[in-house]
Amino acid sequence: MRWRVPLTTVLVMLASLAGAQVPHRLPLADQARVLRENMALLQVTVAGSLELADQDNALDRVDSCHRLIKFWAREIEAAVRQGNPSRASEMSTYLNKIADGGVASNLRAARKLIPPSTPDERLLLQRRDAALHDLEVLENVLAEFSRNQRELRPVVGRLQAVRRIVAEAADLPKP
Amino acid sequence: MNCRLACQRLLATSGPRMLPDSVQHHLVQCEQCQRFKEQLDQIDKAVRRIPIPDSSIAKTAFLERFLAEPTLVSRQTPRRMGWNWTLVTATSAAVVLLGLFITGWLRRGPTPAEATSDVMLEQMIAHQLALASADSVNRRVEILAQMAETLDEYTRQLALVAEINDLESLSKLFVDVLGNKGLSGKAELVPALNRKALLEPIVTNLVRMAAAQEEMAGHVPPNRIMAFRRMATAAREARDAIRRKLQEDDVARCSPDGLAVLGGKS
Repeated sequence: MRWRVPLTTVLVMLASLAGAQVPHRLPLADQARVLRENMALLQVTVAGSLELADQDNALDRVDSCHRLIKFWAREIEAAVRQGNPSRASEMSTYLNKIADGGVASNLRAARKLIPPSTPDERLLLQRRDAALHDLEVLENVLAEFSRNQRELRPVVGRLQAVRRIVAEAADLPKP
Repeated sequence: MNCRLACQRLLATSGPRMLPDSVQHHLVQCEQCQRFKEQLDQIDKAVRRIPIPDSSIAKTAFLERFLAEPTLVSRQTPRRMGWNWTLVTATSAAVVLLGLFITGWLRRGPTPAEATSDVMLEQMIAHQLALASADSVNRRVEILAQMAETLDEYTRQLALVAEINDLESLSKLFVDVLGNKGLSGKAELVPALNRKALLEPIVTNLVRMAAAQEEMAGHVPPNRIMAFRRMATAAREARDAIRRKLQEDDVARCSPDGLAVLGGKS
């Protein structure tokens, strides 16, 4: 008897966590509504993907991903201005993924190939700074709106974290 | 007394059977019922001979446990028992609520899990990120094929519920992904060495997608047919383009300098 309660506790906790890991699929009607809302984003994503599929140079990919970040940043800002922090939060998840998996990872890939004090390094740092600038602008907007929309506070925190990742991605590897 | 009643009485009488006179009288006259009684007697004897496993150890252990438990229970007053069950129920309820909270928190809070509300967009972004770090043409071709599959799956899934404009847009995205800037174009660049192994499964998938889209076109209202026909045509065109490339390889393989064309491998 004594072990039943803790065992039940553990099982329920595990079940809850497992349930949480299952991708949350909306009912079809809601999926159709979300598709309507996100169609422009989907089109940009596909166009961006085809562009990336054409690029062999990591710096070019940084540029492509930066353009995508700009687009997502506009979406996030629009959501925030419309008082929709939930959508802003969702969009920021995508933006963070692109900033980390697109911009930062390609900056690191480029960094490995570009020697210091070369024109290419200058280009690398310029592209990093351009991406950082846009992330910072968005961060400031979100920080301002988070005073009234508390749900945005963790979004700002995550954006700061990803900005640091991008900032460090072009650093020379430590000896 | 008939046979049916006699048999019923025989079955209902256990142990050393003290059968009523009427049954005994019937048995004397009826060979069939006599055989039935003999079989019952055999069963009775056989049952007694079935070996019974020694349960003394398990029985002793059970009895010890059984006898020990009341001692514990006897220490508790009925009030204490009631409180214990209340505690168990309350704990269970709290655990369930905690579980629901965790689930809800993970799903509704501004965390990455929230992004799954638009599963298609999330998958397409995952493909995009894979392309952002894909270093080889082969990998890009694989990812583009996956993108086409994602679009195909969701377009068919939303065939009846999506707005027609959105369905049209999805079908155009599918066409783009399979077109010259996408899968068909990149498939041309796959090194001959890997071409067959990489592209044949993709061709199979394109055939499957085209068939599924044609089938869907036969089931949707007329104003939605065009989107699926467009997708099916794009899938067939991509399939044909890739097949042509594979056939060129076969021809090259058969030519005298084929080995050189295919990078030294047949």
